[in-house]
Amino acid sequence: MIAGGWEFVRWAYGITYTTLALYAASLAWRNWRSQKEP
Amino acid sequence: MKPKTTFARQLSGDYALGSVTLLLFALGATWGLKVAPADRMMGDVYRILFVHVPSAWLALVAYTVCFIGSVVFLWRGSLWWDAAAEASAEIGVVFNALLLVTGSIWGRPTWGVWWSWDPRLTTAAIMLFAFIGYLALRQLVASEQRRATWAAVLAVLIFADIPLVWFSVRWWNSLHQMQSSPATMAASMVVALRLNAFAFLSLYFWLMRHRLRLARRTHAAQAAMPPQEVQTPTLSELEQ
Repeated sequence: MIAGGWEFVRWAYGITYTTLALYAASLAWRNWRSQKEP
Repeated sequence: MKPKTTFARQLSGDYALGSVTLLLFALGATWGLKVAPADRMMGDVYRILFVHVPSAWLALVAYTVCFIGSVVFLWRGSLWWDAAAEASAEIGVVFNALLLVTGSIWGRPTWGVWWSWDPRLTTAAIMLFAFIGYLALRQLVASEQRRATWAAVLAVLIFADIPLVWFSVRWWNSLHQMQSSPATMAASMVVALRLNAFAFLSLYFWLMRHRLRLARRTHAAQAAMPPQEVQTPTLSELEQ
């Protein structure tokens, strides 16, 4: 069994969740801004 | 009671879908990180697959939607389908990038390398760069109709890589393992994978709602702008 796997798991989940959250927030922001523009 | 405006309806739909997505992500993370047991061979590292595999599935789904949107645009000429293709391609690129990064993090402890020019990895990397190229092309062409046509033709051409990605592990001698089946996994592992897959799918729908709205609004704003005059330099200006 591979030892010390949790470090890699933390990185993979951290990068995935952070990227998806930032992309979703950027889309919501760009949408809100385009809604405001005439 | 006042009837709801389109914006208010969109917002309540966004909140409802967003709440379902967050709930599915919370359940997926709990099952993937806590409930599912460690793998006999890979230990805890295999838990990366609960985000890696859904990233792969959703990248393929997003690119397939882009392909369908492009074909329907070429067939019917509807700019709505062009906007859908654009929106789905951008979301696909995000999932595709996550697929490669999480795969690389998984590869280091299991294969001993961050990257290998294996058929599955190479075709997945080609897929990412091809769709980045598709998005770049969309930025380069000013005319809406021409941009939509060129982008649709390119999307149809580069979609040829998608079956190669899927079948690469069967057709060639690959380091990457073949697709697993639920019969070879513990029940809690299957539940964890399905919960995460539905979380990613739900997020895809949420992102599509926003990205498609943005694409439609951007295209409408560009169409309303007066055509830009191209200043052709004179011969004397060029000689200076």
